[in-house]
Amino acid sequence: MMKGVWHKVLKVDLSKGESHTENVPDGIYQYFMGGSGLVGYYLWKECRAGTGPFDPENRLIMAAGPLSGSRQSGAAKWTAGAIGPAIKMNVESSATASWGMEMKACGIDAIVISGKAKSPVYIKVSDDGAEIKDAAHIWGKDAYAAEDIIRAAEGDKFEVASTGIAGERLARYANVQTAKKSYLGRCGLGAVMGSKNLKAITVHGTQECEYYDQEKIKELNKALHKRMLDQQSLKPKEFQIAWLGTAMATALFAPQGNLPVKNYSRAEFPEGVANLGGRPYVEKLNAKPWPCRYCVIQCHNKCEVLEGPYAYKGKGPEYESFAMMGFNLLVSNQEAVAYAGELANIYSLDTISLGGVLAWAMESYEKGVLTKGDTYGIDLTWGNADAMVEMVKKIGERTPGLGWWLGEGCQAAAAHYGKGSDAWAVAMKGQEIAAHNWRAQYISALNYCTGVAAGPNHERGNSQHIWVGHILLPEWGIDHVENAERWSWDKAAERNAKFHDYCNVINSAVHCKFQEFASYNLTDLLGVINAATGMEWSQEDLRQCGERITTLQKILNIRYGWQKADDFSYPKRFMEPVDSGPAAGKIPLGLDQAILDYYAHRQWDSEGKPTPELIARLGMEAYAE
Amino acid sequence: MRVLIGSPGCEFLAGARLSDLVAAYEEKLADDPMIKTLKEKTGKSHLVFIVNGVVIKPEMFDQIRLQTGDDVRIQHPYFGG
Repeated sequence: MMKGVWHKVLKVDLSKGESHTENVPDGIYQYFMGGSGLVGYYLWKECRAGTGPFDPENRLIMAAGPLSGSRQSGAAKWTAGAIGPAIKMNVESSATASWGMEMKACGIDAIVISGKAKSPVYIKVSDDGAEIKDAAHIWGKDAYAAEDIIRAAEGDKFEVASTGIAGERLARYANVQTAKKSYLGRCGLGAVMGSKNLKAITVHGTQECEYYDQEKIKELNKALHKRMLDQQSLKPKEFQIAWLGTAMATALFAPQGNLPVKNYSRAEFPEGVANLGGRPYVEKLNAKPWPCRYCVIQCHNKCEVLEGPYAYKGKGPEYESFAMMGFNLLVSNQEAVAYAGELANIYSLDTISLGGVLAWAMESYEKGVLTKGDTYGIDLTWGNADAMVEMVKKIGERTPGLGWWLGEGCQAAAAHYGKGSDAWAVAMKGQEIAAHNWRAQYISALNYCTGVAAGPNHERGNSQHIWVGHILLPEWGIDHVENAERWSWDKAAERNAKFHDYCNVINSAVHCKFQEFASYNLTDLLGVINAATGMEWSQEDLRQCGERITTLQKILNIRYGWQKADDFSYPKRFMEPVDSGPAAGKIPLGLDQAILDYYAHRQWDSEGKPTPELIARLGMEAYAE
Repeated sequence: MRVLIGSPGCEFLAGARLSDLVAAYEEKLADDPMIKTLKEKTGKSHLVFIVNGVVIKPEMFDQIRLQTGDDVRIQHPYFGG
């Protein structure tokens, strides 16, 4: 039997108001480990073809992994999944803080939620199981207020995952927050909660899962944490993660041409580089480390803008928020971007999609597709920080008209407002593209087009890190790349496949991918997985586990309606070159063939479906459809 | 002697100094846009070298002799995304 997991999940049926625990066979963990793998397994097992994202039959699954509770830096993550409101296929997202560890301490590996409550509820989970509790008094409150009310009622030991007004009102990229600092950000899982009349899930447990070799885990953690701290201490202050968080990335991405500027139409935004991220982050936003439990790198920050129209105290923006709400909208006012980001968090809007839809709206306004009659009188010009803030409120409230349409995503808004505005909707499969520019490294294009875990996504497959962060996977054969290969398709299929599988093992274990920027590597990951589970896996066993999960996700994509054409319907914007900067003149020509090459590398057929040979090689006959 | 599994697959003679590896790696990255910018702005690449799980301070680069099978990892200053 695999150790480090409970072999139990909690099932909650909101329609019936019932809950019970269910035993999970050991073979499922040996196949899919936990986290993302468990999410995929339960969708495969319970959520049939034809299920819509807002149907009561949709499942919302929150899952821990064998590393949850191991007290290793990065092991505070947890994964959640469902059929997503934007892409309408299986999706998942991960958050951190302490919620996942608390859930596992309740003696379960996952919560599988089905049905729809007759009136607003929240779910309380403890050692004693689940209670479905009335949330009428919380409905209509923002996500943070909901957490405060539930903590006041249940006690501070309870961790809360809640959604805000945008989730209640089914914005298709509504997120779920926990601890006012971490988010199931992408893919609209907050709207899935809203569709179930589910405001929050609160968890607290006292049980410790048995690991295969607890002493070995302690020994690994001690050495690992020392190494990570030592390498941080050698960096100058302006590159120390605890000081700057992910905001440091803007300055390092600019010379690579990786930033999204003006809805991905421009290469450079010097005012943004000067004002967004880096030292100004600390000086203007008074950023202080706000670490997740056990984390030694401490990338989350608490910020405080002391005065002015954008005064607030709370979560500091991450790189993606700076990029999508700042650079992509030509807003260089750091306080405004931070304030708008926190406003989005409180409404429960994903700042990546939000930045994408606002960029589409600003370009539509510039080109006359939208007028002040559409924008509630707001002057939605590029760089207008106040306009950005006002539109966040309109979208968060789901104000009828443009605010409502922008909550549906930029492709839906473009289809509604027409006039050729789909040409600048930087999205595919219904979901906006995150802040990694396809022109800076072509592998990003391949990654977004072929992603199976959560549609187009920058961290369910993060092959862009090969170039933007020099992250390699030497244990899996990726030990050497040249800078010029950014613009080559050679080896792209193999590299992209391995990074997808890599993300799947990280998200199933469950661990934090940001640890890799502080020297965490696949040898570290395998060491702690083996110590936790007793599996004695090799690196090839680990990679194959990732490949099985990827294959299961692909099977689910097909079940929920994926078509080959979806992979080739990528945003037109990336095929328009920019005329300056490091990626001047670069566009991912050859992408169509690269997608077909990726299919072949994956042992998918020319239609993009897993071949019988692949299914047989992975021993997945029972899962094929 | 192949010592590197976390960086370009350079070959070194057994007993080569870590500083030789550092110099070779930095030369290989001369045109890397991020490293180039960092050097222009700060005078340094800010790369961190880790040998067999131990973070090596720059002043020790000359004293470390590489041996067959050594696990050398190179950490770039980037974080985020």
